[in-house]
Amino acid sequence: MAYSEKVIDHYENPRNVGGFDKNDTSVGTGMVGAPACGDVMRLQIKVNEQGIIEDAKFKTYGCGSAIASSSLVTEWVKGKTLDEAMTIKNSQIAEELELPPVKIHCSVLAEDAIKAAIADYRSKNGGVASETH
Amino acid sequence: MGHCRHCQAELGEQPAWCAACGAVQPLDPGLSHFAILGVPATYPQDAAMVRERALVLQRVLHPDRFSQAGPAEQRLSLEWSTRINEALAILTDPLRCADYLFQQRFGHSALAEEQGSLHNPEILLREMERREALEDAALLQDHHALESMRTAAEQEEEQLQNRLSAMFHQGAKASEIAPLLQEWQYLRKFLAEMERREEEWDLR
Repeated sequence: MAYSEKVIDHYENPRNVGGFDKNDTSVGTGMVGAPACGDVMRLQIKVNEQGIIEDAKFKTYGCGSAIASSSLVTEWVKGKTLDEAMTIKNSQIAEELELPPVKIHCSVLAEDAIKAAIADYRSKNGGVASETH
Repeated sequence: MGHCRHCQAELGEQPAWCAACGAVQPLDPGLSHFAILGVPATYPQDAAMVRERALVLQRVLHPDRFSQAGPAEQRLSLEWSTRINEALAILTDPLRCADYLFQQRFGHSALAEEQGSLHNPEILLREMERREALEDAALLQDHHALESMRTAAEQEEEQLQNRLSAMFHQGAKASEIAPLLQEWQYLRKFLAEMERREEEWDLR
């Protein structure tokens, strides 16, 4: 299958690969997977005292589209508030990366990962964890 | 149990053709893969027996045997033959067979994309660690480490099969069985990824 140039760019030069200490209270960790494709995705956010996501990291094992989707999301969430980050939709990711229909589920995975990371951060910090699925 | 579409004789256990006149019977699309091959709907399947059953059926039903027959018979033979091959492929693969039995019991696959993202941290953490270890070993081109990972993964596949067998037997719930199928699916992908890495080395 032909990947779009944007997917190839993120795949070859992934942004923000790595991780934070998941026990740090300013860190939210989201882990999601798609067994059918063998994908496993970890997305982490670091939130400052103003409630702004100041940094984000990811580690994804999976196809190019899954890597690109998570890489893109880490770029997008930086500088956003948690509520703003919650509004990211998989359709926006798919559109930006020009994902073909068979790869839409990779963008769904990335949306679920950021939502899970935010829920983790909120539950650690006394908030009510929002339902992630 | 119905009657033969050709000679009206009563049909026996074996639904594909009439024992009295030999006519191929219409295929009921609702038949399970187990029923198609006439094997019990249990887990695990005896792969040798499944293959033997498929062979016996194909000897009678294969389209090659119907080259001189009328169009209706040819079509029935093709339908049966296709379903037999499909059943053979699924029931001789221990993971696909287990997921098929899961579908029969609970109405959906445990592995399909439509099930949505997996959030089970236990499975995901284990998989993440496994993939990291593979990446490290691949970086160093450490054949020895890879071999022991492969052995461990294959042993795990065996354990999963045994646990699934016990769970199906006990009538366990979907929520108990699904994680084992998901874990196994990840193992399959892991073993495939390992092979891909090794091929890369050989090409260099």
